[in-house]
Amino acid sequence: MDVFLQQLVNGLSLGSIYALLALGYTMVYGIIKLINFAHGDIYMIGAFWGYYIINTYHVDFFVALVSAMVVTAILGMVIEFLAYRPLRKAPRITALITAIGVSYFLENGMSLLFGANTRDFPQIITHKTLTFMGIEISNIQVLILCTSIFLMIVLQIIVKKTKMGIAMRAVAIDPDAAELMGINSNHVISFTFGLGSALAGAAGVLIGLYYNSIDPMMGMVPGIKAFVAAVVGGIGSIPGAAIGGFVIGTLETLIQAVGLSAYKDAAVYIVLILILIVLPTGLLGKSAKEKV
Amino acid sequence: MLKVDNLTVNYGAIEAVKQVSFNVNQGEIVTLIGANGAGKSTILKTLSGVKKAASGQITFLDTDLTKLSPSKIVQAKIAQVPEGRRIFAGLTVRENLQMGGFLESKKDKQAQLDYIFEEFPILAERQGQDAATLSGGEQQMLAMGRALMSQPKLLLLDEPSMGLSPIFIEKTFAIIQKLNEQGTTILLIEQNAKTALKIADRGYVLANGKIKLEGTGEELLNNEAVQHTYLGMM
Repeated sequence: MDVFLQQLVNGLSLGSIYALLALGYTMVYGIIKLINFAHGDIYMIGAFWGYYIINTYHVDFFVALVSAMVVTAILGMVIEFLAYRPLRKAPRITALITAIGVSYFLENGMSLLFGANTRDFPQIITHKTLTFMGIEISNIQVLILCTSIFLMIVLQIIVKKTKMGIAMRAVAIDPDAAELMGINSNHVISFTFGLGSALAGAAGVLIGLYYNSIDPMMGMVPGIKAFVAAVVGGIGSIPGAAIGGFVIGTLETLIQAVGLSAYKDAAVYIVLILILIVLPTGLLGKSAKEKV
Repeated sequence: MLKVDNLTVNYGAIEAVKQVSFNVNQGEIVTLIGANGAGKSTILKTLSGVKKAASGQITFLDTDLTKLSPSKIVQAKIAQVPEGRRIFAGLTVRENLQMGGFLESKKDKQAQLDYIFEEFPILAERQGQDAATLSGGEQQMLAMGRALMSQPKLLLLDEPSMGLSPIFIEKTFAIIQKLNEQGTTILLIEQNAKTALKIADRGYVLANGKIKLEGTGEELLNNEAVQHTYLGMM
């Protein structure tokens, strides 16, 4: 039982990182129906930015986190502007292939500029372990979980209460009608990329602290897993992405706990296949209904 | 107020609207009637900037609208109630209205919201509800309320009677007349020609992308060709 609870705690902290990433996937998909395969690499850039700014300016965790979010938000908007906006009217597959191209560009560009080797992420927070009812929780795990949940709450407020957030949902529902309201869909799409990328940047800094090592290819697998999380939760659904992230993270650590470490990635993909067969719209996804 | 000059609009190689000219004067209700595919909706889409004209000119209160973006046209105080209402299902009634006033200041938005809740009490009652749960007629009220949020001088209505019960059609047209009396100029597109011509000051009959006839509402109602073709009278 203790082992199970212990793995659950580990799973939740890993899952919260997947959840942050999955939110970006789902928001972008919701608004322009694009699976942004470069999303995992934005998370990598977030981690590298954290590495750079901590080593160079010796800033604390908070500054590293917020600055990484700002940098990745700008990067996300620039990518959207340069790579995806010109393809707005093109077939969906064109944008999808472009997203894969952007992903390779970021991965190999970073390898070329900074080398492909793995680096140690600076440990700005002294590692402490708390024991609670027989379960060991590190202060970093608590920090990851709290930061992620805090960011998800902020996101929820932005999407539900602000003018831009409501416009995001309006454009996702009916872009043509939104245009007739005078909503400039390009601004809204740009805002969505910024928001999603900022969360990915935050996840990058958090994973640096957690796993202690970063490299230019680090975004690939978590990117795909977060995509699976978004599909499990119901692509396009924001609460679904959060839940999907926690589900995938927990599943992965539990599989490791029962001694099947070698199959942890496979398990995630099996879940994807099962969900697509049994519940193609995901846990919270909506099937389109129309009222006449 | 609105002047359309030799407007031509294409869909690919097809000319959907051919050299159409018409005008709407301040305070009028003008209707464009015609069968399916006559080009009515295309004209409205071009007026609101969603489609671009191949040639011709659209002028509104001395502003050339022909090349403007939809948001600039909303700023010029033209609003559209699109065909099929196109409310945002999944957003609440209140959020739908807020989107209608997207470009307005906070203060104007609130004032306009109060006005709309007064005009359409049903929307006030249901403001927190998902707009998808409204009935067809209520959705029409919402679509009109949403368009009014931008305080338009000219309101474009695309087939407001479509899919509504006779009672709601009557209600909708009564609201259109009331808005007109309060000072909003109306351009109305309808397949339901009879009802439209009854409330219209003037009308244009459109067929195959061209204007075939024009006259006052009454003239067109009594015109034999119109009666025969569009009003189902023999």
